[in-house]
Amino acid sequence: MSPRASDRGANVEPDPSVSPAAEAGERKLRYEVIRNRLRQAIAGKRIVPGLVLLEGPVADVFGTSRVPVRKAFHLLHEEGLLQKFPGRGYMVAPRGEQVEPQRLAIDEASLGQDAQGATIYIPSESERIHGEFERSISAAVVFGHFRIDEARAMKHFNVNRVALREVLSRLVDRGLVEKSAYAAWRAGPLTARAIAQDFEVLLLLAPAALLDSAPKLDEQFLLGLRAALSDPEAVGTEELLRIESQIHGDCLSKHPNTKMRSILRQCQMPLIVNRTFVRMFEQSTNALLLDEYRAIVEHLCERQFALAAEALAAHLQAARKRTQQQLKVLAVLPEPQFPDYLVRVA
Amino acid sequence: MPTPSSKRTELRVLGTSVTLTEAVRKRAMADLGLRIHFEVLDGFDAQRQAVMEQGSFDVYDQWFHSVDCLWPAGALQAIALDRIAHWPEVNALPKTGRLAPDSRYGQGCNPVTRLYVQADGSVGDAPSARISMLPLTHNADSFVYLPGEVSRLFDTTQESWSWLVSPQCTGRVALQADAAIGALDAVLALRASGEMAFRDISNLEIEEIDQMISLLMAKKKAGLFRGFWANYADAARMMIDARVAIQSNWSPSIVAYEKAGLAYRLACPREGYRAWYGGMGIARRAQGPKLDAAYRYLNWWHSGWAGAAMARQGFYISNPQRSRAHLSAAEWGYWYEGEPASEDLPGPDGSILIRRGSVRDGGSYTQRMSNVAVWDTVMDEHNYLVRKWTEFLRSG
Repeated sequence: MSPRASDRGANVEPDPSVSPAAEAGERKLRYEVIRNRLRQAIAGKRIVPGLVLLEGPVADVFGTSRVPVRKAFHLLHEEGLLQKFPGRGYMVAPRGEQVEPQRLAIDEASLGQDAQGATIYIPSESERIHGEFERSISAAVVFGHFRIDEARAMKHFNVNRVALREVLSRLVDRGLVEKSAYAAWRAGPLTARAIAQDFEVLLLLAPAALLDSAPKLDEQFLLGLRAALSDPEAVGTEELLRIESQIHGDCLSKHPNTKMRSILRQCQMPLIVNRTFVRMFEQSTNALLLDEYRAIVEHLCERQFALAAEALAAHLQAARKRTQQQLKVLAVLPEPQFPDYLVRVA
Repeated sequence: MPTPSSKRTELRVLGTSVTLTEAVRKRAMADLGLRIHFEVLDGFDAQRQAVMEQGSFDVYDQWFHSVDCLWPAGALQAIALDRIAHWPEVNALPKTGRLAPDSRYGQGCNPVTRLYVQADGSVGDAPSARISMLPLTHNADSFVYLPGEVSRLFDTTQESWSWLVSPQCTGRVALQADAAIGALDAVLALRASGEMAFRDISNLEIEEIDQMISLLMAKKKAGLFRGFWANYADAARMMIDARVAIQSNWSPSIVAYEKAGLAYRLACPREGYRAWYGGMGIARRAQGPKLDAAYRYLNWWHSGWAGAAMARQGFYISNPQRSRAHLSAAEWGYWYEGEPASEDLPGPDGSILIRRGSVRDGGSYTQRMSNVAVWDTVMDEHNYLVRKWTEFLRSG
């Protein structure tokens, strides 16, 4: 049996690299985060009983304004975890319990927070939905041509039109969504022709881009890549996809020509095919593919940039053939349920 | 002789009703001393299972064009030719793409293009010591029709794929439902009728697929199609019970037509046949006694009995001479030589299938397999075609 393939059918797994805080559809509010963090710290006895909490210093620790802190205090007080007392602020003490106020310095430690991670990062509306939006569209285009219904997408992601369009524009920039004047936002279909066109562009531009970008790459980054490729047995699916995005993305990203970088970023179809393929079908990692990556990275580490560009071109030639074959295999995938904001184009 | 361990080994064969018959299973078990389990699915489902549940089978028995899905997905292991005893007897068709040097080279998924494992791990036509699947059964297919029903409409001396899409057959047409097969019947029909031109019928462009599907949908809306079928048993029911008068054909259906007393005719279309090549692959995970059993089973298929059993349902085998010993002279003459049946001939179940004096459509093995317009195919835009074809099948 191949549990990976059969268990998930054609449903596309959530990307584990996306933290829960950035999950789409879930509007994270700062006061809620502060309330939860403090509640957990109190329950975990990481805050001294009686500690006096003041809005300003607590807001500094969490990197927010005072407004959400004030609201969090109010709610924790209602919950019976904080007490008012004669003086400014609240005191950490269960309702009805006699506790002496402790006026100590307010910092990460006294609030029971991680020294590094106390600052609250709330992604913007568009950042919040970008990941899920991109994944659902990538998964759908394998199965056909879709129109993106703005109203339904706004409802699904719980965002306004401005935020939604910001994300859609970024997906247009990635070559995943199309929008022409007056026309709807559209995605797909993922075809052999679209893949061939992407490879045609990649073969012309990517090796040239690598030549200029490579000398500016960070040495530690390259050594990390080399290490990741050193043991073929250890390269699992997600690791392989990470290496792929570094070679096709990060390695080219230091090229000074922004227009060129943007064109390269638009050549997403091959990556979508490969991502879907390796995630859906259980198989051992292709040794030839790892050899191709290793050749590129070795040359980069040795600062032989022309050879690295040649190795990249050779890899793209081989990948073109492999990707076309992978696309045929995707035809066996049963059609999954699509989110309602993706409407099939007749 | 079977070894003690092989008696405990169960070989799981995944495939279609085209070759996985109970008679074959029983005979193979008796000859090989193996336990054999057949999992019989429709073509597309068998292919999907082989790719997505790679541990569910030991031997995969299907069409060569499914190599395009199974091989890149890593579902099969290469077959070592030095373990295939009768490989030298396999004729030129799967090895070169042509049965005779002057045969037409069928377009599409000609089996030789998926046969040999190449140095980079892909499959291709350059000979090597390892193959993707063992080529076995094959046939040239066309369509079947009831001359009594359509003879008024067409000249039976000029059989043409175009009949399948003729408005004159409204409500009486059925097509095979698999996109790699049925869509090609539709392509051949639309090309023959002059309604569409194709740059390469075995590798359609996006616009060609769109145009074809919209044409077919319009015809469906106008009531042309009575239905679509996925296996030959359903095909037989279409013609016997559902008033279908003309449809894609798979040879084993004729057993049912004969039993139902239908006056059917298999067409030899002037545009050529749509051919398929069947074979067996070994699961990548098979090893040890399972792997040995798989090789023994594959070799058994070359040993004569199976090829003769397949001949009686209209299929050819890749090493025909060894099957000849298992067929009567009359059977060999009818099925392989294209001669009139010199006596009544039995079908796969032993009852009379072919009446004395009958002649096979298209003539001899060489004539029929040299007249292949196109092989069943997984095109470059196969994924797109499958999605659009499914839309067509579901459309109202």
